Amino acid sequence: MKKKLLVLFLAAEALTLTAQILESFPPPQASSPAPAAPQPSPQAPVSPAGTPALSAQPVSLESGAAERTIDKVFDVNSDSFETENGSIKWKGKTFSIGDSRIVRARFERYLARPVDSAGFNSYQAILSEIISQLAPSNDNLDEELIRAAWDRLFDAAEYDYDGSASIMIANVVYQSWRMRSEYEIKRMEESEKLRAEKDSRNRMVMHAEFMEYANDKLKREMSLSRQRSGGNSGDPRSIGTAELAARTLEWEKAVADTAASKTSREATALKAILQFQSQIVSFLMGRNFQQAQIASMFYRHIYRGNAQDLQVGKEQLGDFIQISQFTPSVDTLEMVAMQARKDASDGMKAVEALYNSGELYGALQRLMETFIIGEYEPSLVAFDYEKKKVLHGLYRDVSAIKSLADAKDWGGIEKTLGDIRKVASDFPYREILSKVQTAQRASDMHLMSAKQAAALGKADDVKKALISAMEIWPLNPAIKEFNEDLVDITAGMEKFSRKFDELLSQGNFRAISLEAPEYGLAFRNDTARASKLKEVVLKISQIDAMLAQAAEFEKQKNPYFAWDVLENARAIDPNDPDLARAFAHLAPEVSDYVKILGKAKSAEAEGRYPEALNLYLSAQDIFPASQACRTGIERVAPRYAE
Amino acid sequence: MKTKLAPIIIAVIIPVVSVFIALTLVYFKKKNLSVLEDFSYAEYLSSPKNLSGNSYLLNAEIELQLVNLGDKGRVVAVRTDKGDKLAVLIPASIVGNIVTKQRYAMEVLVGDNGRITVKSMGKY
Repeated sequence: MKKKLLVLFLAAEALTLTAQILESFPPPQASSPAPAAPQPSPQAPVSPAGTPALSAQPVSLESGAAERTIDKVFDVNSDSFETENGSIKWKGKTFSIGDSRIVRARFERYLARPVDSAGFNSYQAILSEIISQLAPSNDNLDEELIRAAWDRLFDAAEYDYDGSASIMIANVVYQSWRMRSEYEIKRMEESEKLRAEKDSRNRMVMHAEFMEYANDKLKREMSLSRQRSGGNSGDPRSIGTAELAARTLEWEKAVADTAASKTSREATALKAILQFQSQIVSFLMGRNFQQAQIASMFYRHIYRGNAQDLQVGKEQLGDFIQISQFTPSVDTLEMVAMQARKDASDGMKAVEALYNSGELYGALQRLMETFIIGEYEPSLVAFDYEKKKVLHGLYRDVSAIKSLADAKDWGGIEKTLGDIRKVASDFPYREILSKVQTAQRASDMHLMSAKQAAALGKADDVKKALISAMEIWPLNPAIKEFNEDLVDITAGMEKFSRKFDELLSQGNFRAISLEAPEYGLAFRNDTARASKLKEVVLKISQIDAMLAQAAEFEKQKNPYFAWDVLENARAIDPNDPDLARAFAHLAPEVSDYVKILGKAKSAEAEGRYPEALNLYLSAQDIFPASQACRTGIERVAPRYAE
Repeated sequence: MKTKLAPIIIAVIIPVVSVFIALTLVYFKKKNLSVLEDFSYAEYLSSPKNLSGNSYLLNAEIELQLVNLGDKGRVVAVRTDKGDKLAVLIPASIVGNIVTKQRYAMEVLVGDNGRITVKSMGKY
């Protein structure tokens, strides 16, 4: 049972090893490029800078705050691939890459996909041109130059490699420009409304002042009239009150309109900013780092140092950048994108170096890691197709090992390892092979136990041992053979009995031993034959052990010892064919000793004991440790005087 | 004068004569054994029957006693001065201790069945 557990453990280790090869492979991305947004009109309005400031303390490149923040953000010791939750952690940031099977499928697709180098280079030339135009050193770019870079986005979108990402960037840039235009229009409208509000207020105030004046004048006149007449002066005047109320309402409406206009203007600005920032975060989370970088550059030039603080995705970025009291900005995202691109580029350099030095397995591992980070990076896309084909073959073989290990097909793994070894000398095949062979041998040992149990007619033990052998190596070819033999045995017990008797009468123990398991099952109810079979099996086992011992002595350059052991085996069964072959093989090496020993035995057999004794002594002189000589001397010395 | 010389002469003659007699005895003894041929081990091994009935001189060192046959004597393994090993029967009639690692000059007789029997032996 302990052996079985050990074997299972080793088999599990083999599985784990192969799993590690493949499970270093992280799972998939969730986000895919969104469908292309409608292309904005080339005549989209362009307005000068002057957008609303959404941040009191913007982070700008000029201040160097972004660089300092980046140092805090990047934690190179925290890189990891979390296959369980489908994410990768790269330099302290977490990316969702989805299901590992999908990533594997994408990786295989990537390896199998040829690249139109000319087209891809043209596409990259356009993007490089855009990046160059929008470089941080050109911070005070003229709007016309930004517009020129924006136009090139449509050229880039013509290529399949782009996946409409350039259109998305162009869209959000256009939205920003349109927002600025709307913002200006609304600001002018707001000015008009302010003027109207002011006029309305003036009219209301003038009317009220007029009413105050008229009322005061009337009071004075009424007072004089009362003094003169000594009578009643009459009711106070109310003319103009309704008009004043109407003018007050008119003014209040103007105030409300102005406030609504202001709110609408700010909402328009905020909407455009949110859309732009959302798109950058989306690119980054989807690992479209080149597009994230370009979008960030457009953003910085359009919003010019203000509105740099992120208004969207703060919760996601809280997980993304695990630093307390950290205020992420668009500049930070740009730096993250650039760092990721550099990492992918460095990864591909390592892949090239390993491939060129013949370490293809290492190259494949580095390529897988780099693919996870920079799947859409140009350095990966442009990787030589011929090299990808070779690595694809290697990847399939390595994947096959995992599948074969799942199926416990150790024979298949052995063959696949042979194929891998031809291609990738750095693949750790020895470790896997040793575990495979351990499992194979463990299965064979159980099978041997089954055969031994069969030889003893213990059907239950045969069954148990067979089950154990199958658990470790279900496709063990020896199990099939054994099963076929069992079927044959059941079918012809009479035949086995006849054959056994015949071989036993001939003294052909070796032939009986070769089919001992079959005879064992056939004689499980025949005690007499089973007993004889047991004796035969015991004899042949002893001879086999001695043959093995003799072979070992021969390896150690002790042919006389080997011969001595064979002599002992001959005493058990002088007619054994394997023993005869061993004697014939060894005889030339010990011919002097054998010749004298043979003569000694002949002399002894013929009763010439003094001669036999002297011959034994002579042979003993050649091989002092000879057991045959010692026993021969002991036998014939007492008969020397006869 | 005569009486004075006589004891001296006698004293000289007696040891001289004694030494002469001893040397003569040794000489004759040696001469008797040296008459025998040396035992040929190779010839014996190839065909003991050819040597049957012959006597030989065998100079050998006693290695070990293989078996004591009582009245019949003792079977002893000896190593010849040429380095060959063989067994001889020292009959009980030959009195004396057989000392291992001691060299002996032996007169041996080869029997019909190849048995080598010591007829006489002496240390040398």
